[in-house]
Amino acid sequence: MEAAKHFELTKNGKAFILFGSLFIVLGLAIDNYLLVVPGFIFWIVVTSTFISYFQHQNLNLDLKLSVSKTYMRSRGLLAVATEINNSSSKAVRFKITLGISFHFRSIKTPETVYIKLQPNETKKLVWLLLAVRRGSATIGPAEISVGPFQNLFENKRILKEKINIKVLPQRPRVNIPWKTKKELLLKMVHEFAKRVKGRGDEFFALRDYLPGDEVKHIDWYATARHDRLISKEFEDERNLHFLIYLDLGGTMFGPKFEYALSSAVELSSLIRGTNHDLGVIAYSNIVKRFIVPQLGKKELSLMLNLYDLEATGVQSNFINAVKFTKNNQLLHSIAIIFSDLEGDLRKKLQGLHLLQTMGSRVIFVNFSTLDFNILASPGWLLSKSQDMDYSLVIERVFPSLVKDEYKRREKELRKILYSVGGDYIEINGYEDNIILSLYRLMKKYSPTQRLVQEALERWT
Amino acid sequence: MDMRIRDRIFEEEWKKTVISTPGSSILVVAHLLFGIFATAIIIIQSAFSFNVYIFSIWLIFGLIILLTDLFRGRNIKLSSELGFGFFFILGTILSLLLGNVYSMFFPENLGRIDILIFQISTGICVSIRFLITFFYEEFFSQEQEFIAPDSKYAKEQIEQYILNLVKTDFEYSEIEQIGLFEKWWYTLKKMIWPTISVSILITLAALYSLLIYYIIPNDAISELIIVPSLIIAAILYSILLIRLNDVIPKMQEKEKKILESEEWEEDLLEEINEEIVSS
Repeated sequence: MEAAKHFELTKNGKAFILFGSLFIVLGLAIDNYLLVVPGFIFWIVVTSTFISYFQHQNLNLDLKLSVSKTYMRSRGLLAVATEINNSSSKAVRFKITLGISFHFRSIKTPETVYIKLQPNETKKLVWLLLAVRRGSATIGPAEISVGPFQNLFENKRILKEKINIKVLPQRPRVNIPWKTKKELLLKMVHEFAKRVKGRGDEFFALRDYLPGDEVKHIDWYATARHDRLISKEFEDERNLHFLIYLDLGGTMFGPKFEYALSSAVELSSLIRGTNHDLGVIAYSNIVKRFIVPQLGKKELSLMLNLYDLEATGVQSNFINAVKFTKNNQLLHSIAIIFSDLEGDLRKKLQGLHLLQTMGSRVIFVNFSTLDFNILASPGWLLSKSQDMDYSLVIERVFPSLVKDEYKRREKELRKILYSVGGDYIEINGYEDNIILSLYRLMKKYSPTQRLVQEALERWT
Repeated sequence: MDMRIRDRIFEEEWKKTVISTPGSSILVVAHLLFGIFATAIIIIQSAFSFNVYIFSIWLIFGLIILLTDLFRGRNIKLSSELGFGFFFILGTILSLLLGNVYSMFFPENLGRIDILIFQISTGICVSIRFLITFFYEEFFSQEQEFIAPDSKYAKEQIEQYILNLVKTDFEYSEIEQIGLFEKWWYTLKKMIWPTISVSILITLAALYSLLIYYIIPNDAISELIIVPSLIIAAILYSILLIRLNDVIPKMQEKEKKILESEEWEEDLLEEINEEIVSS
């Protein structure tokens, strides 16, 4: 692709013409050669830019920009190739600058390089880039500056093509073994999946034979024992319907939000290759984005929809998100709420009861403000308090009044969660992992407790 | 408890590197030296004029220039050079205002040739300083920043990635850049023709003034003819430069219109994509 030509006398260039003339005229008028000599130099410099413009006016350079992939993880590597062809009959030296957005840093090679091209020569330059931030990044435009004194006279060939690259959240450093994930899933299925009779493989119960039942489902041993026809009933397939409520409100900001987002992505890796499904509702005062529940096999497309979410600055309202769920008939799901205890707590908790009436199990994940705020606050970073005792730091950054208030809020939340049969998880800083926390939570559920619960359900 | 772990890990693994082009510090020192030379010569000349006001004005200006240069250090920019030029013009205007028989422009104890030598050598120092600024901005002050792998993990990551790229379109090899001397030679070569053309102009002007002196031996009258005609020639040349700028085709406006329509199309495509993904 032929790069577009761009010629422009810059403000500096115009000032130089003006100053050159002014110096010479003034110098001659007052008979002062101190001014005349620099004036001549200005003229020489400006004239040389014009001459180089006339020389390279018809210089055509073919430029091709390509990237090795269009979506990637943060902290991943990307190769960018630029192919330049000099179709003219002259050798040219020039400066080439690759425009990259702030999501990338160049490795080993600076973004601006000076190279020389022989006539009819083609060169391929490859830059290696490291993605340092997630988001929607761009590569391009590529600029070639021909001739000297570019800050006076821009003589450029620009390839205005921009390549969009999706940089997904970083791969978590703690690799949780698949075995743990499987165990967690089994446990969750065991505890949370609704037991409904139907057509499945899992055995549910025995009952009297009714006309219309399939003959192959008759349990002949039981029939022999009871001396009447007994048939087996099967359970419906037990799939989990995960539903992540991602808070985009004003209190979720900076590192806290980033971690919530990568936790959501990590949860999606839990269902990889299974038949469980996962949907995401990102909400602030209204539902900002809804990603329809997708089976574990489409996990990647789910992540592709998540990568460019940003926290909004307004107070979030949870009830609107729940109403949205009700309207879309997303019943009997495991509702995992990624939020915190800051701001208006009533608005954050209104709707939990509605979720319960919809047959959902609630897990409230609190991204602890205590830890994440310390990490984000300049006081923590500037005073180099990493070596200090943690409790001391908390005392310093959070006065006891704030801490008490925080504890009170936590108590209130636990009370409400108890009434709806929900669970509470706290994520304290980057050391905590959402999957491991869920695993710990599920270990708490014992079979005896489950039996008691079931008995209670039957009683009521 | 630690600060952001991923940030710390990043700092451990990657090192920020800045290329300093060889010779950049020499250029910075030369820039400072030529500034000092220019002011020193002009201060000496003003001292010869035996005018206390003019001498103190140039002394103060020289000190200000020296201090600003020292504080600025490596941060040499074309725009900051304007301040330097401004002091010279201001100094000249003030010297003219305070001018009498003993001033630096019409002194009794310095001959015309001496004044010419002083002024031209100052002018040359100032011009060299300007040229150094140009070269510095062009080749040295570029942000040659990049990151280099520091930890074993990062190094292995890059090695593996480069190995994977072999025999693809993105096969990695270090970019061969042209050397520093080639860059200098390239820029100087571009200035040969303009220098010749401007020096022809100067020679013509000199020949013209000699001719006038030869025809009219009276200094005062001949200078009355020479100076205005040279000024007119200078104005004509600057008009020529400005007219040249108008010749250059203006291509930016057309491209902007095309870009707008492309953005609209992109938006539409994105919307369609989102619909497909969500359904």
